[in-house]
Parts: sequence; C-alpha cells; structure tokens
Amino acid sequence: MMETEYGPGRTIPHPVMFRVLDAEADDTTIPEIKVEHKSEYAYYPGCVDYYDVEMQFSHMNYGDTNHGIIFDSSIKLLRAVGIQPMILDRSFMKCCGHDQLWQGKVDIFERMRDYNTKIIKMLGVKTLVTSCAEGYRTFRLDYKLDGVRVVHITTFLYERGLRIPPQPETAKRIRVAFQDPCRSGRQMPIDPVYEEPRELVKRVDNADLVELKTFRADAQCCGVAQMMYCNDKTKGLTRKRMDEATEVDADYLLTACPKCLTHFGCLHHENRWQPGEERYTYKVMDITQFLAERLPGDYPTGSNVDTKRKEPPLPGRRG
Amino acid sequence: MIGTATSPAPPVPSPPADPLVAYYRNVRQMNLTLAKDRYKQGFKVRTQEYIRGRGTLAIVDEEICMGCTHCFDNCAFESISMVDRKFALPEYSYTSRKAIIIEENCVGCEKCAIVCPVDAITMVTKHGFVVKDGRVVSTTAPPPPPPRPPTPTPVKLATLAPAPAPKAPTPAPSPPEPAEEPPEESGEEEGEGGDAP
Repeated sequence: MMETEYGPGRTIPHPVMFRVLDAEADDTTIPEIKVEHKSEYAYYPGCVDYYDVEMQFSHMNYGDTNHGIIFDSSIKLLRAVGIQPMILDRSFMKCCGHDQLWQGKVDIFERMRDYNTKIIKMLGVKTLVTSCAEGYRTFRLDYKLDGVRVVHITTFLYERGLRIPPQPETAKRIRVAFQDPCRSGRQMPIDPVYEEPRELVKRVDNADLVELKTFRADAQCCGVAQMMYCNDKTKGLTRKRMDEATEVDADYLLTACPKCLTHFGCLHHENRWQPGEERYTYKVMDITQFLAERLPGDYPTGSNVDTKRKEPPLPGRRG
Repeated sequence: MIGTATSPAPPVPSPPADPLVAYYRNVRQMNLTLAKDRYKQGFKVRTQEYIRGRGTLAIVDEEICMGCTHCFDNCAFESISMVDRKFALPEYSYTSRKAIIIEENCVGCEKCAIVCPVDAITMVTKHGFVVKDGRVVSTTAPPPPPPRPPTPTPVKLATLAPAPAPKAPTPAPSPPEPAEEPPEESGEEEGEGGDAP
C-alpha cells in the first residue's frame, strides 16, 4: 500500500522486465552501429529474448514457452520468400515502447521513440517487418515513420506468396484455431490483420482452420494487457479464452502476439501441474513457429541455441 | 605448463559457410546474452530493499501474488506452500494458485522477497521485535550488559587517576567516569553475594 493524493492505494507491481526496459531508455547516446548485412528490409525482433529470461526467472513455466523461436522462425520464413532482412538488433535499438506508452509512462516512450526513429532513418530502412502485434501497432501509429512501410509479418508473407510444401502422407489432420491479438485487430484502426494469418494457415494442406467462439473484431482478450499484471481476474479471462479453444476441439491455438503466448502458456502450464487436471490438450504457439515447422530445412539462426532448451522441463514443480 | 594451460575447450560449433547465416546466428546469440546480462543488473538492486535475519518473517499479499511458485522453489526451509484459492463466479469458477508462508519454518532469510517478480512478499518483524536504527532488535529480552573487565581495586584507581591521565584513553575506555561507577556495582555484588550464602 502506498499513500497517493487520492488516499491509500496500491501500486501495480511491474515485472522486472519493465525496470530493465525503463532503465534502457535513460541512455540515449547512439552507439557505434555495425550491421554486417544492410538491406532495405529490416526485421525487428522486439523483446522476445527478454520474455524468455522473464519467463525463466519469474514465471511458472520455467521457460517452457519458447519466445525466442519467434525470432528464428521469422528469419526462416522471410528467407523462404526470398528476403534477407537486416536485423534491427537490441544492442543498438531500444524497446519499441509499447508497454511504456500504454502504462502511461509517456516521457519514457517519447525518449524511446525519438531514439529508434533516428536509428531507423539512419540505416535507410524502407520496409520494417515486425513479428509482434504490439510492435506493428506502435511503429505504425505511434511512431512517425514517414517513408517507412511497417508491416506485420503475416501480411508480408501473404503478399510475397509464401508456399508451404505438401505435408507427408503420414501427417494427421489438425485443427488450428487463431487468436486475434487486440493490438493488430480491434485496436488497429487502419489495416487490421485479420485475413492474412488465416490465409496462411489454410495453405498448410493438413490443417483445418476453426474459428473460436469470438473472433476477428469481437475477439476476446487473452486476459492480460501487455505483461502488466497477472491476478485472479486476469487468470479467469485467460481461462475463458482457452476454454473456447477446447470447445472447438482445436489441436493448435495460434496467436500472433508474444504476450498472448506468454499468458496462454502460463495457464497451460499451470493446468498441467496436477495430473488429474489436464484441461488443455492442445499446443499453444506463435503463428510463425507453426508455419516454420511446416517448412523443410533448419533454422538459419540456429534454433534452440540455449542449452537449457534441449530437454524441456517436466511439468510441475522442480526438485 | 600443464596446470596453467589446461582449459576445457567448450564444444564450439563449426561456423556456417554462408556469411549471412553466420550473421543471423551471431545476432541471435548476442541478443540472448544481452537480455541475460541486463536482467542480472536488474536483480542486484533488489537485495537492498528488505530487512533480514532473526526476528523477521515473510508475509505474502495474496491479492498481488500470482502463483508463479518461484518463492516455493527457492525456499531453503520448506516454509512456503502453494494453495489453490477458488474463485466462484455465476457462470464459471476457476482456481488461482497462491503462496502461503509456514511461519514455524520461516527464518526470515528474505530470499523469497528477492525472487518475487511482483513484490508480493515483504519482510515484517515477528512479535516482540522492532526495527531500530535499521536493525531488528528484541523488545522483550534486556540488552546484554557490555563486557567489562573486573575491577578488583577501585581505591588504587582513584588514587592513581590524576597521574596517568594523558595516556589513559588509549588502553582503557573513559577512565574518569568508570571510576565513580565501579564502587557502586562492586558494593551491590558484594551485598548479593553476602545474601546468597
């Protein structure tokens, strides 16, 4: 409890991630940037590696949910459509500032925005691809990137005509549900991304696309805004959304937002704790990972480079 | 030679032939290590926030706790247990996991408070302890008497006091004031000792 001007109130606890990201914003000196491969197509991975550390440190699934694979899969998919993107690396870019803006820390957001805009202009980026719904909205609407086209990766892959090769005969038919992230859907006033991920899923020949009870502009939230605060009410919302996927008997629940992946993965793991309580039998993953698994070949970034990931942890408590 | 030069060479994967693939792998690895390093710095500051030690106890704010089980895993004394709180709504019900402290086992090591990602755990003093000047002290037991060497001959001290006054401060703490006290204490001790047998 803390004393506010309106009386006693409670501060919203922030994960350590935000302290790290906020601390980053203070240093606005531009470092020496050495990009080995320059291209007009840039890919911004966002904070996916930070999610992994955050999940391993502070959440219950011990890094079971693999966010870093979004990075690997995006590069693999972009190479499959003939693009060799330049990576807007976190060593010289800052966080896109979405969370800071939506938490009301506008000054921190503006500092990040000015810094990032300067670097994007400096590198001469023409097309900025993000694999994250929040990054898409933030770069598109809240930044003023004149002359830079900001696209979500599903839009980009759809435009470039991603082909998924026919799956082997032995592959079973799978039912795939897609969760519309709010930032690229109903909270995106221009160019919402509804159609493209569904079209891409339809190109996998053994996958049947099923719709959840609420979808497109009516899609229900995954429960938590950003990584803001997880409590009993938000867990109830997440539970409700995941039950919708159970009702349609989905084998895969896909999403295009790493934060939806976080929260679904968290509840997924929590409900695997007790053996009698296995509620969710489907897999939760990002749409880029789902598509990249259907492509032949290895990940160019070296997938699962983290040695901890070779053996996924057992569900439930450690030790 | 052998002792100095032996360093176990880690299994280095062969660099890929494609320079572009090498670039992607390099960036990926760099991002991973960057995230880890930045996280480490974020956690260092947290160890300064809490009081620790004997006489303190961890408490969990259940409204904030999100059931991540991290304190549960890190507790060395098995003093944290996870419980499922049930939330019943008209349409459906669900459970939410919470940490609770087993107070008999808690030694106040503050490890749980450090690892808690949402600051749901704070350290408080147990009954009978207060925080004074940044440290936890007991209110029930009297403070232990300061160790004092026995003063067998107060008379000598009193007589010799004026002469070695300049070099007194270094060996003995505060020579003139104790000179008045010891006689009283010795007198009491003698009186008690006389009563007991």
